[in-house]
Amino acid sequence: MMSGYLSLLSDIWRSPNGRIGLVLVIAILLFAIFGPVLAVNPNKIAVPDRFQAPSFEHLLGTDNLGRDLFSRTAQGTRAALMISLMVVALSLLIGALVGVAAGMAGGWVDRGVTAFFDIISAYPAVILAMGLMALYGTGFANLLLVVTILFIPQFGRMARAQTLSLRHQPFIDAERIIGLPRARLIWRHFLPNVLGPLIVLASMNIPVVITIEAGLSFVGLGVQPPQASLGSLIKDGYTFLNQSWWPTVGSAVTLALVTLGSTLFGEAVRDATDPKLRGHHK
Amino acid sequence: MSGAAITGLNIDFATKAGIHHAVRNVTLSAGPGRILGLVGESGSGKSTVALALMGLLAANARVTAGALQLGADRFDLAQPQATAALRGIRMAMIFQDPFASLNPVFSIRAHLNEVLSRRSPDVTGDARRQTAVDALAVVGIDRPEVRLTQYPHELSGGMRQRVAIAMALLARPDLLIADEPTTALDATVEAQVMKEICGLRDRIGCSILLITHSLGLVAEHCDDIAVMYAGELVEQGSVKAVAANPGHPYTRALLACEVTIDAARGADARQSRFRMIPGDLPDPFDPPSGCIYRTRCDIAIADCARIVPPPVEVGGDAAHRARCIRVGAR
Amino acid sequence: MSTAISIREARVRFGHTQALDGVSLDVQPRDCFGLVGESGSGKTTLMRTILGLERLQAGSIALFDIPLGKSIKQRARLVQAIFQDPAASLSPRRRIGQLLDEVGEVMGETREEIRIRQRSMFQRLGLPLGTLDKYPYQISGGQARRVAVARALLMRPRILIADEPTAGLDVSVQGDLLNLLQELRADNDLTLVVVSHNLAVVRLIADAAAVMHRGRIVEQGPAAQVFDAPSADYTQRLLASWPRLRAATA
Repeated sequence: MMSGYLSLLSDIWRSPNGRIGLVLVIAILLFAIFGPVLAVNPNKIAVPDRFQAPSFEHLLGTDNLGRDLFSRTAQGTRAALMISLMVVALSLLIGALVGVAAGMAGGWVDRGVTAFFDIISAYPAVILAMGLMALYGTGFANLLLVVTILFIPQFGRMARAQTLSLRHQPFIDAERIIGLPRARLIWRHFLPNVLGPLIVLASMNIPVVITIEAGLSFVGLGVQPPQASLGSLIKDGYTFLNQSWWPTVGSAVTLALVTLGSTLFGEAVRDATDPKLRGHHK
Repeated sequence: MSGAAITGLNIDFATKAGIHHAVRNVTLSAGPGRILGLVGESGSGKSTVALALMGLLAANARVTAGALQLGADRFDLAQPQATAALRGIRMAMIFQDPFASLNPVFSIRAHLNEVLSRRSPDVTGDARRQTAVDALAVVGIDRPEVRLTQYPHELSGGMRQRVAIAMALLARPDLLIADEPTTALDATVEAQVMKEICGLRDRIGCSILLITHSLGLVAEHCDDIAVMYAGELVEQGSVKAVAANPGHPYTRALLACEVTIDAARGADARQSRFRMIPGDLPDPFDPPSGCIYRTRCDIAIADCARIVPPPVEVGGDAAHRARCIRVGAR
Repeated sequence: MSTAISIREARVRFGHTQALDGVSLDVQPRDCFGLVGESGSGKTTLMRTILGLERLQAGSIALFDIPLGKSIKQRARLVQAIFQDPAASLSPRRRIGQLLDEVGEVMGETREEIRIRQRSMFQRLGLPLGTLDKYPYQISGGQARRVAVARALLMRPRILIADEPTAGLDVSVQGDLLNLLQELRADNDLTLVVVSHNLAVVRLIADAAAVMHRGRIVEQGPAAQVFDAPSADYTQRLLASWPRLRAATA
């Protein structure tokens, strides 16, 4: 299994885009993990120090309340990554379970689940998120829940499609005729083959979640102050753009790099695991 | 209509593991109005030959040498797009997969029109429609006027092949290439489709290159036979001559392995034994020296490793040649 | 003596198509039985029903006089199959050894017991032991075929169904598999059922046969009768369409 992951990484390294993506992802991870540890207190307000340009003390300068931008950006990046990973993991899990169940059950269960997916995906994502949060309030838990709901249909549909096509594969037939109990059949032979494409989809959805979260934070519905989010940082910077362009630039460039890095990485994972492109086995 | 000949065809494939010389020095001819059966098993390169003629090879394939002689005209197959202008006019092809020959979004009429507009551009309107209807009727498709309006998915596999044959009929080619045209069809349909293909030869006098793995099919329908093994041509001649007196050990072994419908049945089915050719195909990147077949041959001698066998006449018939230095030995 | 397979008035319908339309047949123990037909004849559906992959909507199937209900376990001990595309019948994300260990699991054997049997089976079939550690995509088509045979035989079935055993095989290599099936049949006292559209091969290997057409059995009986003196019109047409190497040239 390890050799499988290592060869995946080497495949990703081979493509130029994948290389950039991998480098960016590692840089971002280091920034998010170690940034807040190394820097000063992100919430420390020091109004006299407001709008300072980057210096050794404040690597990315200070914002309108004199808070250190390096640590706030790092905090925001950390929040973005945490939220995106949690959302993607949750929606993958729920989507997979529901999708496989629908695919196996067929009939009205399948039809009901498909309708449920269709209803959710009929709404523009951010509008639906805003609507739900307006109804149920803001806060970290609600934010997670709402964005997770947005992504369940994608994973669910893919899991269902995979299940439908796998059901009739010869190897499933072969396992059935030796009398392997149903539960073991699903766990050992179905799920690993269903999860493969789902994980690729997950890696490609991470930047999308990050962007949605930033968008929600920009309009004040995401992570609440004093917690920093890349979106709220951009918004704060934007409000005071005529006094200092630095806060905006710092957080916007970071958001762009985070999104670009995870997109390139996700695409590289998709290409590297595509069995049709995998000519070299044997 | 004056026959087709391929001379010195060599095709290479560029792969991750190196250059694969998939087809080596193949020379064969289909006389005017004759059907040549090109027989081979997996890895023989027979389909590659067909695709090279039509210019349909994959991107990593290259014709390094070879020429096609159609009547009085010679085409250098190593040139890109050498035969593009001939498609649908002097050469036509029927493919194995009846689902793949026809474009699912075009009606049967659109398919036939495409051929007609290229072949006889001055025939238009009602005359064209009637020609299309007649072509469908000739190949045995019922209710041709209705079929014209239908789409490929509404027809069965056998019907689709008949449409492909009708398209070939309208193209009036000098050379028709049929690549495993009946492999995907049931035996009863196969017999009917082969009848239509042979009928094409009777109607327009074209040469037909029939590519197949079935010796039975060749015996029933072809005039001449060419046998390929691992990219090389090992024997050719008239079907009668080769079947009666195979010169090459591979041909002989292949004929022995073929299970015929009229083979002698033992009293006890338990006793039935099936023949096979032991060994494997040679490594495409490291072929044996000398004769390509020697690693599986039952009469190979030391010289077979040193000499690349030239074509040798078999049984006093100039048209029957086998590439073996021990023709006639058992 | 009980019949190996006894089918009475089997009916299966898929949407608008009646795949099996009142099929009745008997297969005698230790016979090689040929089930022939063209595409759409219902032979594959019949095979799948015997294996328990499709459910009968009417009629009954009994194996060695045991009527088949819902018990998969029972059926798995009596009948096994080798599928048309052997490589595709091996679960892609598991090693060969793991797949074969599952046989021990369902048969209630210990790891050691099944491993010993795996090794001797591999030796018998000419498979290198290293194959056990490989993934299905790492072995050749021929090896995959033998692995599929190994798995089927490790279940110790009394009936073995071979689904289109010659499909996709060159004429020069199919003999190997056919001879292997003959040997296995003799050594293991098996009842062999060959489902195929290859009339010529079935004619030589079968003791008895049935010809299917559009969900019905049109001809049934000893092989000599079915292939050399058929009574049904369809059978005669089918045999007549089969390409022949003319006797004059032999």
